[in-house]
Amino acid sequence: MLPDRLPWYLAGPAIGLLVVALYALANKRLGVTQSYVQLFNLVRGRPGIEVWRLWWFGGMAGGAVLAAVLKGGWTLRESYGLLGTLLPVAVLAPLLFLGGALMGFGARWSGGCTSGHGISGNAALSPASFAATATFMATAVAVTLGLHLLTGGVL
Amino acid sequence: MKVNLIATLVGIGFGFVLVAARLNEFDTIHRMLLLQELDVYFLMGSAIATAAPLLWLLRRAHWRTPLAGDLRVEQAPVRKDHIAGAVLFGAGWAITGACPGPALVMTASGAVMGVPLMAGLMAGAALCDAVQPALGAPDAGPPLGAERLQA
Repeated sequence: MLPDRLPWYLAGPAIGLLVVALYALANKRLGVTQSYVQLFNLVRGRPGIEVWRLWWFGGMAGGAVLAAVLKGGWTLRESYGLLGTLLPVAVLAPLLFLGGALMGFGARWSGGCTSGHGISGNAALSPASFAATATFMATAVAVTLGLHLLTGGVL
Repeated sequence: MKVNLIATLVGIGFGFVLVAARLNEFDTIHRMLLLQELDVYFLMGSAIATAAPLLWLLRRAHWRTPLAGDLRVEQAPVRKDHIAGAVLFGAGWAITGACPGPALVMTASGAVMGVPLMAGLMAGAALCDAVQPALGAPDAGPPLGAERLQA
């Protein structure tokens, strides 16, 4: 039912409207990283959980399932794109854990990620978000191109 | 709580769009960061271009949110934490090809490899919170350039 890929000129403005809706209705900045923290705190039984962030997390998961179903069926898969074809699972899984940890640490330290700084913070015209976005974009492109060169163009 | 309902509904929309636009796939992000395909940059740019003027108008109109009082849009001055954290974030993003939102929707859409990725994100975020007093809270300390302004 869904096209193979929703074009950016529909997906981008739709995300922009979601940012505005969350601010205008509930006074919240749309961002994902803090939900990981709240989930962690919930598992650890810590007090002071921001419950809406857990609902937000669950909502995102539900929306993802819905889109996958409409795209032609939800399937469990072990593939991980190009990186999955280059590395065995025994290497890929720990690498993803470490890369994820680097991102999680960095996003918390920086006060936001690609959604919190990259979309919401920039739309709110926050100087911190301009600086953070420029920094993580430049770093990510540099590291990706660096890995591309190091692997002789394989990755 | 109505805030939870709004968060759930907006979350459903966000998760749906991310998967519909294939941001749940390593190859989409990897090609973006290799500068081989610019769609995701246009996606982010058009999201900002849509939201920024609307948020500006709401702030100008002193919008009162129906659920949580007067609209307060976060605007922070630049501090070194924003930069240092963003370097680590960018490096992790380049390796995994999935930032925190895509990591979640990738897993929810059935990718088993999203599980160690999400576990890592949670561990890294929790570790940062644990050592935060040593690093300085993200919103503490003088803004970059403040010394110059005072001088």
